[in-house]
Amino acid sequence: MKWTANIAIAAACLFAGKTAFCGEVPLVFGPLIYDQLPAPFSPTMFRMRDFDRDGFPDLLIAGRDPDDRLMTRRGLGDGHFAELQLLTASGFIDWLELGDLDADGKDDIVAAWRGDVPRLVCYRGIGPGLFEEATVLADVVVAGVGRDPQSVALGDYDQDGDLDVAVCNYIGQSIDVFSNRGALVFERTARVRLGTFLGGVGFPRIVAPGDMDGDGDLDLVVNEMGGSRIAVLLNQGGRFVGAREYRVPQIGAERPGLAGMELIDVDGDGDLDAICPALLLETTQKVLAFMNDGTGALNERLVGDGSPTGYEFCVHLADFDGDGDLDAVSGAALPGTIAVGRRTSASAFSFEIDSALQFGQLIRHLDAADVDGDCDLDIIGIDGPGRTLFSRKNNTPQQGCGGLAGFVEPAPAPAKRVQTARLLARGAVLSEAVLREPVPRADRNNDGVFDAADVAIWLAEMSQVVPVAIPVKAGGAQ
Amino acid sequence: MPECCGIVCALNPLCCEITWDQACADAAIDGCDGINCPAIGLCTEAHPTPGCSDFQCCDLVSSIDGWCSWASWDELCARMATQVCGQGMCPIDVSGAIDEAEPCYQRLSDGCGIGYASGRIVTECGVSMKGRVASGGPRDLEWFAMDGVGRRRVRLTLEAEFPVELQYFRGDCEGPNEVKWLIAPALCTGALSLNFIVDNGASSMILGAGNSDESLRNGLDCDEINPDNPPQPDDPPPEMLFGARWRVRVDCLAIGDIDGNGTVGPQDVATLLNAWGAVAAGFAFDPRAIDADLDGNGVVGAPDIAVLFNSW
Repeated sequence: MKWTANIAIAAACLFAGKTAFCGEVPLVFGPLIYDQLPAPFSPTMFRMRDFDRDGFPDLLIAGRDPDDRLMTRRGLGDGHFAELQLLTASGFIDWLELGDLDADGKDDIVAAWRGDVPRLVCYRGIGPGLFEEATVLADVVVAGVGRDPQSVALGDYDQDGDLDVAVCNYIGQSIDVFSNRGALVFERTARVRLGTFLGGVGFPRIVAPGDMDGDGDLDLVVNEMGGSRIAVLLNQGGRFVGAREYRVPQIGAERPGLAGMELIDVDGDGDLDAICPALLLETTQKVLAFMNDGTGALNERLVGDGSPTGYEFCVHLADFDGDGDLDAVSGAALPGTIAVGRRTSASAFSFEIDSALQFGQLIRHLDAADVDGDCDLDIIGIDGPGRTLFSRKNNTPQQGCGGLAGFVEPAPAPAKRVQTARLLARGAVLSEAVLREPVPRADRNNDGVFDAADVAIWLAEMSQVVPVAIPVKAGGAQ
Repeated sequence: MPECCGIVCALNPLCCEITWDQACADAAIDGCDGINCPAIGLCTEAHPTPGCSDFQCCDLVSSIDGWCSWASWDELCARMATQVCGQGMCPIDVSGAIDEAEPCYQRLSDGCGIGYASGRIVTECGVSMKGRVASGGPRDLEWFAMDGVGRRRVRLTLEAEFPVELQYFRGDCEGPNEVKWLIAPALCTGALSLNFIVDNGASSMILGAGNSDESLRNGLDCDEINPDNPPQPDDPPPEMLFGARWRVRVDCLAIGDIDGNGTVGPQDVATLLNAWGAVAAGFAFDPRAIDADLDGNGVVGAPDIAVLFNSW
């Protein structure tokens, strides 16, 4: 059936005289498979590993939990994930990473506890998918953790052979680098303030490591939600002393908000580029690429199509159809939307949106992995306020893989009105005009104007289901 | 906690006049949430609890930076305490300077905040300018245009009545932009004088309230009523924890005038030779240090000698 579909598409291309898309078939994903996470845990992001070596990805999930937990879950191979271990925290955890911090051959969880007394912590790995309770690596007094550490990034920044930790301080508006001195002793060796020239608050949210300038060491890249900028911190012999910052491009009449960021080689030129969701208030959502010229400069900024509904919050690139170029899956909020875009040309940052499934309220994080062992990339994601972990199996016909070809994705349900946010969180569909009502018009970055950056900040801070006042049509609810 | 006592006794004067009973304690629990001055811990040392032991210092720092009184007294609070506690007002003489004439709440010279082309103060050699902080939040910045062709040396003299973060910003609002250096002179220590090289192309000096750790957004409200956000009858009066005035003068020097004495001469040659070699990479640039890398190539060497003699 897969080959039949490919031949039919190729014949259609030839008949139409098209060459650019010959062999392209729409990306097809199966229905949503989801697991409800235990209340009041509100997931924020996750990382994947195959802890039990069964060939299916397992998950470590960070989240905001008044009961102070983070969790690991085991992939069952059918798109579901079963509870594996619950670990305790003291404060919300918005981000975590995995790495062998103590050089004992086992990956450890590295995370930052937010809250009034922020701490950088490590959950030492003790076996397949099992971790000890937290060891505090740094706090307010010891090594000086910054204010509201929202994300961490691991890498050997000083090139001494062990893993160091970079921390993004959301309220502190700075990046800290903690150098590993062995035996889980860490020393802060850098603090770089960001957006000091802004009248408003920069609110850096995500820090990611990568060799941006090709000099063999790891640099750091940060998204500034409040300043709508990407900052590049170049590593200078193990030191970080400043940042180069790049503003989002103007799209239509506005500057988008930047809720997320990932580093990936978009154009296959061997260097890392930064991709971001472009949250817009006045037009349909977009995705952005800040293209690296090989020196770490991100002057070229490209815009591609994103989710057709909601506010773009996250984006992930992966080759879903096995054609060698990177396709996109993006997540939006209000309504939660999972949009899949097929790269229309390896040389251009443009996507054909093949599907947009509305689910939940806020798709906070997306990734791609083969959850069912059929050798193609499936989608895994989370809805924060809905406390839901979900996957969608890839059924796109593609070469070299055994995907379940020929599955026809159901057409999106027609828009209809619902009365409560609870229904929305379960995947009900609301019209765009109604859904844009709950966004408070508050100047959250305190720069004197209300714009997309303020909505990005509001969404990033949201972990509860948003009460949505839905007007009821005359004659009763539908 | 005197502040908490004030809150409770305003509600129930008997708590202060007669006895502090359980009802007063309950009122304190309800009404004093987040007030932690004084509290355990030295104000000049970081500790994981909010507040610190010196009431006045604790109250002042907490008024500037609320994190310190409701979250934890971290190193930022401790350094702020070291900087501002025990200081009186430090008025400056702004006579003879040209007034920036920025009305309260207008933020006309906020650079990227309102528009790069129109949002910067034009600087002229040898001219003194004065102004005041026009709003606390959104915080007011003063962007001074330093654009020009070629590298040039300037001497900047700054006086301010409030804690200052002064930064040199390269590039425009679209980016790439880079803060080459940021310094925070001590409060009430007189005029700061910097002799440094301005880079080729677009660049700006940015003056704002803050220190080396953080920008200040509280305690420097303008003393006029904001027409867009007039106070409610029960709002407290505007907070002016510091004076709001500043004075800046930019003098243009020959690029070879390394010591800034007004002439390029043998002393500058000697200074350059003393700085011979590679400029250390990976360290924050300090505009208070001698800048002898006249051509900006990262090395003090023979080409810099040539530049110096050209400006003899």
